[in-house]
Order: sequence, then structure tokens, then C-alpha cells
Amino acid sequence: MKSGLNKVRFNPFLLFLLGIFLLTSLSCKKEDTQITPKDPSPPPASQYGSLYLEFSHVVDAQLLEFGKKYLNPSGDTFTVSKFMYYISNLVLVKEDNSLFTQAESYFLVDASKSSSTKISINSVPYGKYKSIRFVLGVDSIRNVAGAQTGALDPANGMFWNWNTGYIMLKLEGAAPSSTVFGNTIEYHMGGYKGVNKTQRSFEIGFNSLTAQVAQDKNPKIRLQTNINEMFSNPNTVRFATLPIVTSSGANAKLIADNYQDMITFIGLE
Amino acid sequence: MKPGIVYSSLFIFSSLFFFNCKVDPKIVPVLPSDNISETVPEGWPQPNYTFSTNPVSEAGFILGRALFYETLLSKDNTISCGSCHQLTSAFANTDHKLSHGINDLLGRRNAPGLFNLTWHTSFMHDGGINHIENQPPAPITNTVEMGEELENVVQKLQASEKYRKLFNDAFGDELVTTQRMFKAITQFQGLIYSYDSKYDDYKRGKAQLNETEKRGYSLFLDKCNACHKEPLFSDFVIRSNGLPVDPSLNDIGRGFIENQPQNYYKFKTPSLRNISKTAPYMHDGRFSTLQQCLNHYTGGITNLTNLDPLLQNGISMTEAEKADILAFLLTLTDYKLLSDQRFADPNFQ
Repeated sequence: MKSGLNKVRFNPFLLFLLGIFLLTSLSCKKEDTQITPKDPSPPPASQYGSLYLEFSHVVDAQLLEFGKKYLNPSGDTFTVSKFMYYISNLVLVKEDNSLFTQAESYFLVDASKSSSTKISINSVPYGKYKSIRFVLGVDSIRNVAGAQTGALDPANGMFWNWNTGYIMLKLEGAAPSSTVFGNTIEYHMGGYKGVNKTQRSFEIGFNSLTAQVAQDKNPKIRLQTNINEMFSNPNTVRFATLPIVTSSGANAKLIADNYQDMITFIGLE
Repeated sequence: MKPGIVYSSLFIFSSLFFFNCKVDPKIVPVLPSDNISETVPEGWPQPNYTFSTNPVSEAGFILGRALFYETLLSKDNTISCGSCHQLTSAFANTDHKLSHGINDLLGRRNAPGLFNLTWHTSFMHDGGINHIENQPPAPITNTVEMGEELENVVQKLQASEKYRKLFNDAFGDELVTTQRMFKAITQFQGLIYSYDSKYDDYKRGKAQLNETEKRGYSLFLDKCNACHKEPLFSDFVIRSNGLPVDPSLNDIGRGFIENQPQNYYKFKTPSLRNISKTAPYMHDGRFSTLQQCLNHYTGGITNLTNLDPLLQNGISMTEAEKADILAFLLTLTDYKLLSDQRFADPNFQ
């Protein structure tokens, strides 16, 4: 026993190894126990490509610039200082009507951040796609599912903390005809349930073109969001009478019914 | 190399490593956090929230507790959740009618007690919040409460060595997100249970109610239980109990959430558990005694707008009956909870 101990004592290398062993066993770092669920029959990696959505923002025929003066369909002047909205639940429709559903697809488009106006959809199976479906806003399920993160993080300022629910679309600016302090106009479109829900579903075709995802083919679908669609068809919204809508209800529904066709297809690259 | 040096350097090195795993007592005082788990007391309904997407762990609970008592959550770092929700008052606010926020601002409503929250179907007096995990951002961002932006809270916590460590312990890495914050706070708030009052012992056959309390219980079942339904002592329905409107607050209650006339002046029915400790009473703390509350139901109902059908004729109670009901209400106090150090402020002990 004694000789064995001496042997260890005079072998610093062994001691060092023992030390490492002790450190490893005492270390409180946990093993990575996260298990990535595996697709039972994953297609070969080479069968997937990317597809991009690019949003441009306009007021009728004019490109959106913050602070610039525009006319709404009733002829009322206004400027824009903020324009943000959610795009969620992306589904691509193939020529044969089969569907590709993008998992966890929640995107916050912010007209002031060019990086947010281009959405990448990765891992799209090769094929020819003729249309895209999505929700402008956030589906009701995520509105009742507790704390979320990423695009749905309430810190993004698109969440009502006192009356749970996402702001589907937010437009802020000013209009001379608004009688509110600072001639403010503010449309925070929220409400996710019942008749007054403000999320709207879109299906947008590519004008008989197809977006082909293949090796070296990563198409870009160009979409356009027209702010003036919020103020007419079917409901005329005047800044003098409805300058502020920041709660769910009948007024929010009026505007949501208007914007259900505000996004249109403008091109494919 | 001399063996002594090898031993001592090895010892120092490993010690550093070893103690690194321990919570620095100067940073986080060690409060008990044992036996933290989901519970459904016998005979109770299933809770509304089950932690199925927020698995409870000791580290998650410890983080949630630290956050609950963390003043960094407020704009000027002076107010925590615990400022208005005190353990000794079953997490209501002793003596304050309305909540006190940053910069001497006065809130609009009375801080309710916090316990058995996983059975609640909505949160806040107007029921505007639909999920327990989404409750924390309301007081944090309310300008007359903690008045802070979530983005700033995340930054402050991310900059703190203490919180990087606590988030790492709870979630496996140091990243601070609002989602992790709210899930951790839910592991704290959602595990505050209250089911150990004299009433509970009586129901389990472990204690006796005296004659007054028994009469009170029987009267309670007859006159109060339709809304303050046992065993949670609330059905959590949002209704008007006919309180006259305070003109300085003009609080339309549920009307703020759903702005239609039929929702005005409605508030969520509170649980009566621990009611002897949660004064002052009602959504604006207007009553300081339980006697005043009972008197309201016998003769104080004046706001008839949307008055709940069950209260159309008030509640008839003689003074003797009120005394019996009061005696029963006092049996709903859970003294075990009020001194449970697992839920105490880790910064003061």
C-alpha cells in the first residue's frame, strides 16, 4: 500500500490525469440531452432548396418612405412613421396541389428594417410551386399558448401585455385631419378570436408562373404591401373620424376587412 | 516537481472548479427549495395549467424566485413583483389600497393574493390575460407599476453575472430571453399552493370546526358558494357585484378588455382563501375590513349596470349570520404558506 502510494506520489503525470478525472466528474456541466426529432424517412439533403419572399411597401403607386406625404383613397393627407406586421403559417402549393408547410413560420416584417422584408424559406423540397398561402398576423393558437420567443417575443413591441394577444399589424404616423394630439394616427390591429379577429389568410398565385426550387434554383417571390388598402374597400376609413384604433373590436375588424387583400404578387425572380 | 506542490496546486485547482458549481452564497442566499413540484390536492379539480411545456426544476424555481424579487425588472430598479405581493399577506399587498409603482405613481387596482394560480382561467382583475406565462409582462411594462421595457429587462439581466449563472442552471446556457424569464417566474408563481388551512384540515378529517365556524360554513355554502366556489373559493367568473363606481378611478373593469357596454364594471371573482390576510378588499381596496364586505352584499349594492343575476336582491344575512360567516372565513387562512421560506425573498434572510 505504502509503496503504491509512493509510486503515485512520484508520478506527476498520473496525478494530473487523476485531477482531470476529478474535475470532469465534479463539473456541473450537464450533458446535452436535447434530442433532435428525426424524420422517419428523410429525403436526401440534396432534394431541398431555398425560396425567398421579398416584401416591398407602397402607398398605391408610390414606394413607402417614412415622413413622406401621401393621400389615402378619400384624399386625406398622411405620413407614416412605423409599419410592421406578422407573416405566419407559410404554405407553398405545388403544381400538383400538394403542399409544403413551413414549420414554426413566424416572421415580423418591419418596413424600417430591410433585413426583415426578405424572408428565407429553407428546406423546401425540390419542385414547381404555383402559389403561396400565409396568414397576415398570428394564428389564434399562438395567442393563447403562453410565453413565446423569436419573432413572437413580446419585447418586439407587437404584443398586448394587459390584454393578451399579438398586434397583427401596426401602422403609426400623422395626418392633418386627425384631431388627436400631434395629429397622430395609430392603428394597432389586434384581436385573435371570434368575429373581431384581425388575422387574415392569403393565398397568392404567381400569375400562372411557377417558382421552381431545384439545384441552383432558389426563386424569389416579390410581394407588395399597399398601406392604402387599409383605408377603403369595403370600409372607408377617414383620419378625422377614426384616427386611433388600438384595441380589438368592431373598428379593428373594419380595417382588417380592408387589409385582407393588401398583399399582392408583383414578380418572380 | 515536489509532491507537496503538486498536491496543493491540484487541490486549489480542483477546489476552484468544485466551488464554481455551488451557488455563491454572497450572490444567492440559499433558501429551501425542496419538494418543489406540481400538486393537485385530493378532491380538487384538475388545474388549468399543467407545466407540460414548462417542466418544473429546482433551478427553474430558484431562478423564478430570484426574478420575482428582482428590482431590475423595473425602470429605476426599485420595484419587484414582491414589492406589491408579500408572502406574509398570501402575496397580496398589506395595507395598500392601490399598488405603488415607480416614481411614487399610484396604480389603478389592488394587488390580489397569489396562490393556486394554475387553476385560474384568466389573470388580473379584468381577466385580460389568458395565460399564466403571459402575466409577468403586464406589471413590468405598466407605466404606473414597474414601467420598464422588456428589452431593457433582458439587457439588465444578461449583463448580470448572477443571472447568467441562474439562467444557465435552469436552461442549460446563459442566454436571457423573455420566454425563459416568464417560464421561470411561472415555475415560482404557479407553485405557490394554498391548501393547508384549518378548513382543509377539517375537510380531511384532521381538525374540528367549532360551532360558530360550522354554522358559518353552512351559511357560506348557502349564500356565498355560488360564486366563491369551494375548494378554490372562486369560480373565476368575471362579473359585477354592484360596487358604486369611484369617480376618480372610473374603472370599467372588463370594459377595458372588451369595450362593450355589457362588460362594464365587471371584475374577476377573487378566491376567499387567506382572506383574513389580504386586506384591503375589492379591486380598488376600498374596504379595509371583511365586515364592510359583508355589509356591501346586504345593503351596499348600488351600481345596477350589469349587476350579476345572483345579486339582484343582494344577499340576506342577519348580523348574527354575518358573524358566523366571518368566523368561517377566518378558517381559510393557510398559516403554513404565510411562513413558507421557499417562497420568501432570497435577498433578505
